[in-house]
Parts: sequence; structure tokens; C-alpha cells
Amino acid sequence: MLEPSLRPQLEGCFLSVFSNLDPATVHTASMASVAEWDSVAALTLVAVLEETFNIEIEPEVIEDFVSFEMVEDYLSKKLG
Amino acid sequence: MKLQDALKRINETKARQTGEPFMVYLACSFTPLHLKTFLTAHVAEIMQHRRVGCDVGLYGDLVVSLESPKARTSDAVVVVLEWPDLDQRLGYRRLGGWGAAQVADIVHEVEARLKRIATLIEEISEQARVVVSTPSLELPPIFLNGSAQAGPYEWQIFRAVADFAAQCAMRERVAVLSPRVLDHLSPPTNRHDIRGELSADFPYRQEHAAAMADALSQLVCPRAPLKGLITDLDDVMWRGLVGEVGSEGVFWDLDHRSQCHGLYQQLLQSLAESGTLIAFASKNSAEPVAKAFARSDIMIRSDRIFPQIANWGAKSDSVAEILRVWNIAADSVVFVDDSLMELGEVQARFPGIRTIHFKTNDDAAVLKTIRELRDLFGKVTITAEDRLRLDSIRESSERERAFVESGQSQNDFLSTAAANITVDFRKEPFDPRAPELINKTNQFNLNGRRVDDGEWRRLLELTESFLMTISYADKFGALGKIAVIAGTVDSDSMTVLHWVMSCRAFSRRIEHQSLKLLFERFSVSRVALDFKATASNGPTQEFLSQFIPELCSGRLEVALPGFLATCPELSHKVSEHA
Repeated sequence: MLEPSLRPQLEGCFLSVFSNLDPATVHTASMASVAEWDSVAALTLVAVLEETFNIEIEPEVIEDFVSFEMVEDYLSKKLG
Repeated sequence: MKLQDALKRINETKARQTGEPFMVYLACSFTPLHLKTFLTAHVAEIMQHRRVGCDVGLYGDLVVSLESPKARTSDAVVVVLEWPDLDQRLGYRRLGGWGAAQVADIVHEVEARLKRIATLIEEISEQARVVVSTPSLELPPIFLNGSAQAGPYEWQIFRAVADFAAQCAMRERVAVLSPRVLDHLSPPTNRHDIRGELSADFPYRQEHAAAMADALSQLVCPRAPLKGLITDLDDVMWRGLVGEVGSEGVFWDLDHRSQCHGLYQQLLQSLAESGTLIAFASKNSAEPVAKAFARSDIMIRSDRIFPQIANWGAKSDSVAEILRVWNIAADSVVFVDDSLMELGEVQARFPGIRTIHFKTNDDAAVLKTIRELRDLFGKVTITAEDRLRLDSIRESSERERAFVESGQSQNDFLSTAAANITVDFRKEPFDPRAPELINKTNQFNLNGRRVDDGEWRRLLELTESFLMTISYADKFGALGKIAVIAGTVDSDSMTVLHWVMSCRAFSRRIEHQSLKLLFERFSVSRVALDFKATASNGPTQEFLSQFIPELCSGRLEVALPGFLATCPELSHKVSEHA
């Protein structure tokens, strides 16, 4: 699990990229449930994550970013 | 601006329910990604009263994007060129060969492609403002020589781009981004993201995209130039204290290590010629100052400076007098002095004025100041009104003095002023002076609303719209085109959406005559005004309160009987532009 203090930042990343997301259910967001989540939005999300958490995300893992949960899982390992 | 801040700004503008839309069309052939995000956010930051959106052209083909109807219906079109737009072999996503034969052909292709793009940009600029950036990334290593030497083909490509940029820059409504400014904002070696270009066809590093968008947005929504510059003299206009060493003892040349003052004078003369008001406020006696300005080697003509105040009073009093004569607000003015104390004293009295410290013994700092002043007062074209401005202010001052000395009533004085008003109701040909006046006038401005090119043209294209521009002259001189009224009209009423009048034209009852002309020309019994009180439009409020006792922002109406009962005597001779 991602450190609790970092979760709001991750939620903020999702809410800024996907403006139609409901803040209450952001943690359930996935490529299947969010219409705005296309390939361009995915690249924007990666850039925002890199900027927010001051990390560099490897290109090969970007394809796995298909849900909030998957991104959270990646970050918990990366930052852990 | 960070990417997340940019996204937040965009989400805010999307959520706005009010404000006219302002659409930017971004034409670039690569994936626009963060460039689009930053550009939208920066434009939204500048145009906070508009709902800003951004459409993008067709991926992969800049020419097709520029041919799109969207490029002709947007408020602004931003064309971002990179080398693959000129020949795909100049990008890293195509493998077309870098041999000697290909290079010669690439040059030919670049020239042809730029010619086509320039033609399309010219066409689009008939409808919308266009902002162009030339390729900002390094050319790929296609040339046979090493990178330390630029060979003939490389120079031919640069020449083709420079010719293209010059051709675009000559168009009235096309702005070309300065590579010099971009170099300052974004170091050339830190721009290219090869990973991004190969994986997603987005060739810019995030920092470069942010810098590009920042610079482009300032050309999409250009800031109006400031109007006046008030300068100190000793150790600013020249090196030395003229009251102590005399007019022959002050210098502005290389021999006396004071060249930076000559450069400053040269800049002021150039600004004066382009319509910027220049005045001086100096703690001095008038005589040695006049002698210094009479020297043949001075680079600014004394008659380009008005008012000229040399006395021993507080600087802020001199500045107050200059602002009164110019009749402009302090926030349109720069005050330059070498004394931090004087700068502070003036700033305390006029918080809106921009103060600049002239560091007299620091040539690098002075050059920076000169560049800053050029930017603050920079303009692309010089209008007839720019040339008239100083003379008309001088004449207004003369007129005011004559009025006081005559002891006449205002009615009598105006009736002997031989005032001529020329009114023009033509909507075509397009007159850039009308939106220019709307966008820089604060005091007599119905609502403070600014217009961009697209919005202005859309208003004029409405069959029910009208435009009235007014020029004024009297025996003291011509003021040029000084008032603009625009709005819509139907059978019995009209709505004025924009009404501005230059502050140089105050106290001549031109505003009364304008309203009378509206009633007469359109045979209406009432005129509705889209009024909004602003911090600066006190003179407008004062005028309207003659007819509408309780002003409040919103739609106000002036009825003809009420107007006629209140309107003072008007003695202008009115003629209509043939």
C-alpha cells in the first residue's frame, strides 16, 4: 500500500488529469470506467505523476497503468 | 507553471459558466500533448474573463491543419513549426536517408513547403490572429561536415526559414515568436526529448513545452504598450549634475565613459517618434537644463519632451503635474530615476506607477533597462494618432491656458474653438484604430471590456451591428480619431456594447455630441448602454450620471427627451466621412 500521506497527492493527480472524476470514487477509476482515459491522457498522467512525486517512470511500465489501483501499486513499490 | 497547475487552470476555465468563448487553434504536426495543455492554461491565465478552449489540427500534416476551416473560425491560430514539417527526413521518426543527394533535395523541399505554409498563414490572417514559431529544435545531423561548421546547405535552410519568418512578420495580424526570447526562456540544449519523440511523437521536454506556451500565449494576447515615460535628468539623461558643472560639463559619449546615457537618449527619441509620451521631472534650475537640451550632440530633441519640469519641489509633485497634463493614469506610466529615494517617494504617492532604477555606473544594468523599456513600450505599427499624440497634448495644454486667461464661460470658449467633428459609420474597410482604442482606453470606457480581433470582426459582421468612429479637430490642432462606439440596433432601440473616448478629448462635449448623433442617425427614442463601473472609468460615470441619476452596472437606458433636456449647448460643426 502507498504511504497514507501520499494518497491525497495521487488522488490530486487523477483529479487534475480527469476533470470529470468524482473525488469520492477516484480510487476506483480505471481505463474502462473513465471515458477521458485515452492514450494522450495516459501520457499526461505519467508526466503529472513524475512531476508530483519527483520520479522518472520507465516507459515499459506505462502500459500497466490501467487503473488507480495499478498506479498506486507501482508507486508504493517505487517509493517504498 | 507546472503541468498540474496548468491542468487545474484548464479545469477552472472549463467549469466557467460565463464569459465569451475564446478558441485557440493549435497547428502542429506532432502530438500536441503538454504544449496544448500549457498553451491553453497560459491563455486562460491572461484572458480570465473568457472561456478558453483549444482545438488542434490534424496529426502529422501541418498543411492540412492550416487548410482546415477551423483555422479560419478560431479567435487565434498558433502555428508551431518543427523541422519534420518542412521535410519529414528532418525528423527522427522517418528513415529517408541523410546522404549528399538527399540533403540537396531536402533544401529544395524545405523552400517549397515554407512557401505553401506562408501562403496559408497569409490567408488565415485575414480572419484571425496568427502566431508563428519557427523550428525551435536543433537540426538532425544530416550534413556531411561536422557540427562545428555550418555548411552551405544548412545556411540555405536557415535562410529559407528566415525569409519565411520575415514574410509572415510583415503581415499586420501575424506575430512571429522571437528566437532570442525563446533562447532566454528555454536553453537550446535542454529542449529536445528524443524518447518522447520516438515513443509518442512529442519532441519537447516538459520545460520547453512550458516555455514555448508561455511565450506564444503572450503573442496570442498581446499586452497593450504603456503610454508615458517620465525621466530624471542628472545621471540619467546625461552623466553629471548640470546645475553644478554647466551644460558643457555633462556627457553622454564614449570619450567620457558615459555612452550608456547617449543610448538612453536615443531610445527615448525612438519611443517619442512612435507615440510614447516623454516628460522629465528634475530637481534643477530651468536654465542649465534648457542649455543642455540646446546642445547639437544631444540625441533626443527637446520638442519631443512635454511637459518639462525642472524645479526644486518634490518629485511626486512634478509627476502629478505631468500626469495631469497628459491626463492618463499612473499605471500607464514608467518613472525612471537614479535615486532610490526619489523612486520610493513617487511610488508611495502613485502605487500604480512602474518605477525603474537607472544604475548610472553600471553599463550592463543600463542596457537591461533599455531593453526593458523597449518591451514595455513596444508596438508593431505606428498609427496616425501616435504621430499626433504629443502635439495634441501640447495643444490641449495651450487650449486650457487660453481658456483660463480668456475668462470666458465654457459655452463661449467652446463656441469660439472652431471645433470640427467628423463621424464615420463605415464598418469596412477594417480600421485597426477602433479595437486599438477600445483596448487601451480606461477612463472614458463604458465597461472596460477588451476585444480581440476575432470577437471584433464577428460583431462587425452582424447585419444589425453598427460602428461609429469620431475624429476631432479645433483651432488648437487635430486630435485624430478619438472615439469609438459600437453595438447593435433594431427599429426602435439600440444597444451600445463599446464606447470609448481618448482622454485627450475630454472637456469638449464630444461625448454629448456622440450620443446626439446616435439618436439622430438611427432615429431611435432610447439608447441602451451595456455599462459596468470599473476602478478607472470615473469620467464615464460622471458623464452618464447627468442622464441617469443612480448608476449601477448592467443595462442602462438614456431616453431622448431626458437627453435633450440635459444636454448642454453643442457648437461643433459635424460632417460625415464621405
